[in-house]
Amino acid sequence: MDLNRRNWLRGITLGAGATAFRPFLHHLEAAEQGQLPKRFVFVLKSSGLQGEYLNPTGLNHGGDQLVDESLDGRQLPATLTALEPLKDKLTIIQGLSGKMTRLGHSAHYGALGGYKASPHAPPLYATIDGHLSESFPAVFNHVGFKMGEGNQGVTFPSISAKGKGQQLPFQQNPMAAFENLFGSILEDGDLKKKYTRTGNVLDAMSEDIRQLQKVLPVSEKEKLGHYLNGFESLRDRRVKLVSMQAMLKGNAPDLSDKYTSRYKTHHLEAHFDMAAASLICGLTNVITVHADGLDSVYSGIGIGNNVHAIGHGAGYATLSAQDCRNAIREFHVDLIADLAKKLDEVPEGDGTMLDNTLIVYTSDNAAKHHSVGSDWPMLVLGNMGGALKSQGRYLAYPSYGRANHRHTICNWFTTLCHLAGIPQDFFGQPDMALGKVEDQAGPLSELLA
Amino acid sequence: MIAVGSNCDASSESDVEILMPFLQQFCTDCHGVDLAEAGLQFDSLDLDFNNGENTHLWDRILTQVQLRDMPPEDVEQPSRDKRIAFINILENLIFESPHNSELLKRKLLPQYANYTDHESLFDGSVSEQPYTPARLWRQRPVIYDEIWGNAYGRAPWFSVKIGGTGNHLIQRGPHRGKLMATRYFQDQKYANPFFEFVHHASGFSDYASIVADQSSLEALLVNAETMAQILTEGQKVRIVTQIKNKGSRTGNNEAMFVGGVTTTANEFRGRVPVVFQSIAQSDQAVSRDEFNQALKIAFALFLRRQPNPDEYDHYWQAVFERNLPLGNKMALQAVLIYITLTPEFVYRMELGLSEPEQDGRRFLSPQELTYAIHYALNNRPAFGVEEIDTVDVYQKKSEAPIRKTMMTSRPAWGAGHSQIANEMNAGNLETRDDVERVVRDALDVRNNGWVTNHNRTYLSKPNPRILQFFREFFGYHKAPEVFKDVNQFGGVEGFEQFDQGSASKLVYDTDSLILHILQKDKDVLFELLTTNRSVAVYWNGKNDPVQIQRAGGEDKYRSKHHLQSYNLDPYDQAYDKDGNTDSEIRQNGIVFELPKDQRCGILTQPSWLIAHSGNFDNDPVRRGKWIREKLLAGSVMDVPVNVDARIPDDEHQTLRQRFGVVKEESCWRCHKKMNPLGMPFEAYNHVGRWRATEKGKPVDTTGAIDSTDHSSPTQQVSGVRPMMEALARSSLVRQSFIRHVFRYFMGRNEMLSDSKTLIEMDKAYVESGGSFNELLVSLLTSDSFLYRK
Repeated sequence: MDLNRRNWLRGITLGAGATAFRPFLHHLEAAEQGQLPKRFVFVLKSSGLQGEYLNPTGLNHGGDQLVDESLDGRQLPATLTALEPLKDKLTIIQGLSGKMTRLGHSAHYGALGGYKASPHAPPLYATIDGHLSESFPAVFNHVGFKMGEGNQGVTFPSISAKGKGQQLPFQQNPMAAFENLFGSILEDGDLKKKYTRTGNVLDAMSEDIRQLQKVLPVSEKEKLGHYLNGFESLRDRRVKLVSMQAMLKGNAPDLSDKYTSRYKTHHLEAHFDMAAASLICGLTNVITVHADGLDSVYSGIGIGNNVHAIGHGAGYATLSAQDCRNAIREFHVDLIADLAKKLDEVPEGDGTMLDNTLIVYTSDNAAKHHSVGSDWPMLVLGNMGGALKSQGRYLAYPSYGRANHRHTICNWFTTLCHLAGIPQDFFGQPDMALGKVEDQAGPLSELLA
Repeated sequence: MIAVGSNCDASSESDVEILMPFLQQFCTDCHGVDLAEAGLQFDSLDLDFNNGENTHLWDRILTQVQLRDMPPEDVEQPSRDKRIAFINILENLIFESPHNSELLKRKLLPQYANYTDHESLFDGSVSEQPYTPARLWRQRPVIYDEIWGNAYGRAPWFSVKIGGTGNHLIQRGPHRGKLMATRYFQDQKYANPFFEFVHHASGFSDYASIVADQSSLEALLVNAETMAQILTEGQKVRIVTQIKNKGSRTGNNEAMFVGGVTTTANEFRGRVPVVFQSIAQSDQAVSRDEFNQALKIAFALFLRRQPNPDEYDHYWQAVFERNLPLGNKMALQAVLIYITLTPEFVYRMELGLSEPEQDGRRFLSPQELTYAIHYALNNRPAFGVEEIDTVDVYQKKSEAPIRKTMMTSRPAWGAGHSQIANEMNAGNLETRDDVERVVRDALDVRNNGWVTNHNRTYLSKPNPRILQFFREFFGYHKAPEVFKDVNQFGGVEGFEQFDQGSASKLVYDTDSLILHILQKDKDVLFELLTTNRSVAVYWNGKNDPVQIQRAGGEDKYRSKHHLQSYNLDPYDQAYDKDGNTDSEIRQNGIVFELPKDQRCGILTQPSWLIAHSGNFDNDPVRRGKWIREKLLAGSVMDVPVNVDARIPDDEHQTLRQRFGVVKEESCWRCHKKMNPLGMPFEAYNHVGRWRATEKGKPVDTTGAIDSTDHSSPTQQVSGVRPMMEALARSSLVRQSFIRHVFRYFMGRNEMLSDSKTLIEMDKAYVESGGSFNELLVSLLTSDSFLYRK
């Protein structure tokens, strides 16, 4: 994409639907005044992200002192090769703990929330992605993708929440996801029909609610007004989407075979394509990709048994279990690198979109298939226009149980809040075994410029 | 629609006559030109309530006078009449002003309900007939779960394993002769569109002032799409088949074996209404008759009533026909989606649909009555779904275990009418007498014991909302949410009995104790505040040798035993529950009598103490605040933003000593309302075990009670029992409790016009010798409950 994003947006706003486009113009003006948009992408894998495979040459985690080194001049481990060209935007964080979560096979909401959670109970609090999405509203405040077996449209993997009891949905079937995000540009087909049906329902219902409001007392009229506003916002969203047609058509991914492939890995590729397009079009600022589940099978990259089996040590054909884990990690990293490159090609402010985006790759289950949460690696791409103090940095905090360890995933989430410009000192629950709650407050100061 | 100051008629002349002199007499000495305390100066204040800043300042004055925080104790006080007149006139003026949002908020939200003058509510001075404003009441999340969760909220998958162990021998096909093991998973995976509202101060989770908004709608839409598919095509089930092969090996959990070949298929299961299937599967024009049949079923499923003639036409034109170009199935699904987005599905309507009486009030219609009474007591839908002709979706001739699971005998929405709905359908729910009969019947349930545990929670008890009231009123059920560092408790005296699961068990103990008290239904509040009894539902009275051995010997077993939370020794208290001659004990276990100087009521149950404690310490402030607000009908300001509410760390000092810092004048203004009431609970450690000493010295349990309106002198108390007994005998405490009962069951704050209802409730309670049932009958047959305006 060669066009300067600003001029390009302006071109569109001059056309039809200029009114509906106004929020984006604001966005743009904000950018001109130095308030660039902030975007966050979280990519979570199942079965743990193994820390020992993330260390560049000559560096190790697990000691009792902080290791703080530049990545410059160091070779990344084999499965991170795709990130070599982006090394100056990469931060590898080791040694954060997350024992305040309930681990096992997955910490569920705990992975991004830093608290004890269960898939069978509603979430206790917002998770970091949900929290950020509420702070950076867009056409879609939050978009979730999940690679899963089966072709259910929307799924609730118990990963993200925007508040107590407020699970966030994830798009599983790529076709349904496409309908939801880019359905307005479709000409025909079943997706177009569903999209039209939803529009019909919203229209008819707002008429009905207005009728009902006429017979209600004033205070209750207002109460119903909140609900009516919901309909109008959804209709506005559709109007906005219509007004964004040129932008959406120019950037929506092609509905290729990937979307209907029998290989779920192709679905994940489609999810990443849609993630990039959604960010570029300004449909959303916060995306969570739950890359797989324990039952996922990566047959598209030649691995025929499921993630759970691999976690228990089963190999496939000539591959050992560790070979399989490496291949899966490499596949994810390739997709992340590809997403980053796409964002890096779109100009924004004095730099590119990637400068205002943070991509975090981690696991919903810390570092192992069966985790206890003493080490929770984070791979971070982007530095938020320099707000994240990293131009290629390796940070390994003293490991759990050592005197100097007091760094948890909650401190990392707090850091993200600071980066987002909505600082707070606590996120999630404290780890009582690490001592006083006050001592666990605040961001990871090493990472704030 | 909010009644304020209902017994006053303010004209602008009297406003000036009352408001300004009041201000001059009681306020401007400190908040005037010479001395603008707290930066506030009232001499330039006028009666222009169109001016936002001006109104805001008046509003602050109003709350200070309402809370009796101003004028301060040590200066001249206004007479009661003057104060009430000032409050009523000022409230009306602010209410009429365009800048009334703060006042409206206080009128609607439960945490401000105590702002309404207590004495005016109970002194009989209000002559207005009670009513509730016509209202919408947002669906209660737990009722949505009941309607939705089981039927449309599951994401099932079916694990089929072939070739390992199993209990089914495959009869035919390529795997004939191998064993098959199946397991069906159907976790609920959907978002409840209605967030659960709980305010930390009020604790009440359902209030009619809560709204549904855009996030509710988005979740409703997502859920509705899934539901529409389930009702027209069936429930999609992912069947994952794993076939053992040479390379696979046995694992240790649900996978049973790891490796082998995995295949996945999607099938549909469940029962769908016959007419839905025939419409969805046909591409012919749908007849009106067929459509009407379908609409009738859709209404029965979600709105639990018949459509009226207009609705048949409206749904046909505005929804079905509009979507017909998309095909029959799409159009039918649109109708289903539409119904579950209607305001009627999202909000319960309480408009008062009977003819208005002379004073403009309207009695609830029979259907409104059914909902109102049923939902006051229950968390399940009031109306069930009558028989619907359905057809099984799954038709495959698969192996028996698969077929058995996929073919459902009963549709997931199956549910009968409630007893109250049956009464209404029989035409027996129209008058106040009918209501009284129905309510008494509902309360007179067969008693199935008072024990609750994790398998039989309060939700499974008859009229679960009654125990839920006590949970939300006392707040003890929050004990498991307070983190305690149990890993540090080993070997620490007074804490050894407390492990990861203790807080939950203690909550069930308190649940059960309350049910035990309610079963006797005599002097309920007095008992709740003073009983020295307790139950331990997770102990059957036996000291099992295996458990003793597992604990590491008799001494360790004794010190770690759950009974130690109540300072009891399991060896002293051992009894034979299962073999007991008393059937009540066989069913419920023993009710322990604890030393009277150690335990006194729910506030001394470990569950309550933990729920109102910090992570490492007691929390006398929260405990005192609870008593001030829940028992003394008082209010305490939120912590001001500029206050760093932390007390100094010092391991050599007791918590009481460390709290010395709040005696400073600026802190004490608020803390005097809380700390003296909370300090007697220093008799317990922060996991609720009674203690005689602290830091090696006898523990100081002194405290003090004052009445909220300063009408009686402050009373010093030596400990918890003297304090709780004094409170339990107070009519202010009884009335404060009654106000909370009113709020919870009415879903709104009391207004002055509810005075008659509250006085009658108080009378019914006192005359019945403290019966909670009589209190409820009085409320549910009151004008406040039955009339809308």
